[in-house]
Amino acid sequence: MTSDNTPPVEQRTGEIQGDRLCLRCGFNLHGQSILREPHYNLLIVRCPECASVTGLQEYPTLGRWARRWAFVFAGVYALFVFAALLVAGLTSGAATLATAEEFEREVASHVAAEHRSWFQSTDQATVLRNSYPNQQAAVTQTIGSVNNWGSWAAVNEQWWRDGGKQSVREALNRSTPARMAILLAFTLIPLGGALMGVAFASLLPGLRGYRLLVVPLLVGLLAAAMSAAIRMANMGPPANFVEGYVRAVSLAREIVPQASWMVLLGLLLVGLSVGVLIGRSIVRFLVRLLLPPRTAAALGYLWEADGKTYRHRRA
Amino acid sequence: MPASHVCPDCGTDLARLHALPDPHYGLRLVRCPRCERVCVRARDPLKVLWRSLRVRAAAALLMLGHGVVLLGMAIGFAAVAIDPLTRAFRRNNTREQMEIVIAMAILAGIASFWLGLAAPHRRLFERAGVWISVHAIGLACAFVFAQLLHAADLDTSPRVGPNPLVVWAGAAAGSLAVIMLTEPLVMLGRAAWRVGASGIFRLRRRRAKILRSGV
Repeated sequence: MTSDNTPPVEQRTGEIQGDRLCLRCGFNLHGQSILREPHYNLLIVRCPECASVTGLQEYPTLGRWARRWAFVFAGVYALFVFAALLVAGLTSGAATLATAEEFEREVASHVAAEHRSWFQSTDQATVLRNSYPNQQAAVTQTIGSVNNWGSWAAVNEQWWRDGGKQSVREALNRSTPARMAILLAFTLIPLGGALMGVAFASLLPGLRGYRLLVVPLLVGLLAAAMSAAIRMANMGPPANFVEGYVRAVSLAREIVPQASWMVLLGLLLVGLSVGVLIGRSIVRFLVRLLLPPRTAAALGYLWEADGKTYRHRRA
Repeated sequence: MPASHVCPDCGTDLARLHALPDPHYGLRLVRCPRCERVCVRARDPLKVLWRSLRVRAAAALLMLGHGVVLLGMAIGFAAVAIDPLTRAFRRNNTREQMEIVIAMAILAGIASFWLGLAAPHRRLFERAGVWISVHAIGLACAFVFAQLLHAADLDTSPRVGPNPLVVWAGAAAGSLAVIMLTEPLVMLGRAAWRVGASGIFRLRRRRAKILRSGV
């Protein structure tokens, strides 16, 4: 027996099967109960996050424009993601190539500096002028490059073989900036890749599990293509050195491996792969940590993308 | 011309009827004048689409903003601890030390205030934990770097005075006291925000009422 004071009861008639966002907070109401409310006999659904009620008997919709605009938004979003992938690929290629070339230039400038001190202490300028009396233009360019061209300077190959290489190696071992550069490159490049991965994992909720690895694959292909093209085109200023002299940078490549940019790109891609695989978990943790529940519910797609449901853990 | 809205029971077009919010749920309802059937007036799907986009974008931006501000303040705090504060300790200049400590306390206070307003759902010790965790991660990274570089750049040798990393860790620990002390201010700020926000919404509601009444 019920008294008149008993509040009218809502009857559960089913549950929402498709996607339907809460009109107030944007939470996806998928899986929520459809209720028959007692006041007007309407079908309603209650948002579990903000408690707002939404009617389900809705008449009418405004024609096809909503769907068309949804297509436009989806297209713009797809273009944005495509542009982001392109930028990520080109940036990755540029960053790894620039870092590898910076290593080479750093080593080459050490080679040039060590060679310059040997060149001046043994008065190689006079030796060159006497050895090649008929090639004064080449001699002048060689002497000028030794003093002024830095990493592109001319270096005596014989000096390099006789002990120059060893002395450069020792100088590099003593150099803190060189160690610092290597350390920073080997930590910051994978870290940058991981951050990119986190961003892509959040931008692409449609990809799950190992399918997310398509991102590092695309970025890697783009970066490798761009780096290889630039690497082949980068020949340096034209030079006319005398016989037995080569560029410092080509000798530096005996210390810094040719494929160092590939190693760096590989590290970046490892970071990127780790980032895309664990990115959404990290973002979910940060969203829970930093955003109030109602605002966090708007980013519920980060949970739904991995087959989970956002639920605010009440204190 | 308004979009057609046909009563699902008797077929009367309800398009010309004004939808009023009901007292129970706040839904925009129309009551059919012929059969008394109550129907919900749909929201414009374009507006719904735009609103859902806006809500998500705002949440993402808020998240990024929090991250940037928090990291920015933590990096600023660490930079002051590593360089000027360590230098002041090495010089043994009490006045300089006090000035820098006060500046750092203000920075930590601002960070605490920001966290308190931005993450009101987190308790005091959780917010303090976030602040300390950021510094702990930074300290761990700096320690590894210093070890790998043989402390060349950070100069962590004890001969020249206190280790900058120890100064940083001490300052971060000291900032916990500032976070505790600023809690009443945070509560005050939150209350002021709530009152201000509800005031704004009251004004909006009043405006909407006036517009509806046609005055």
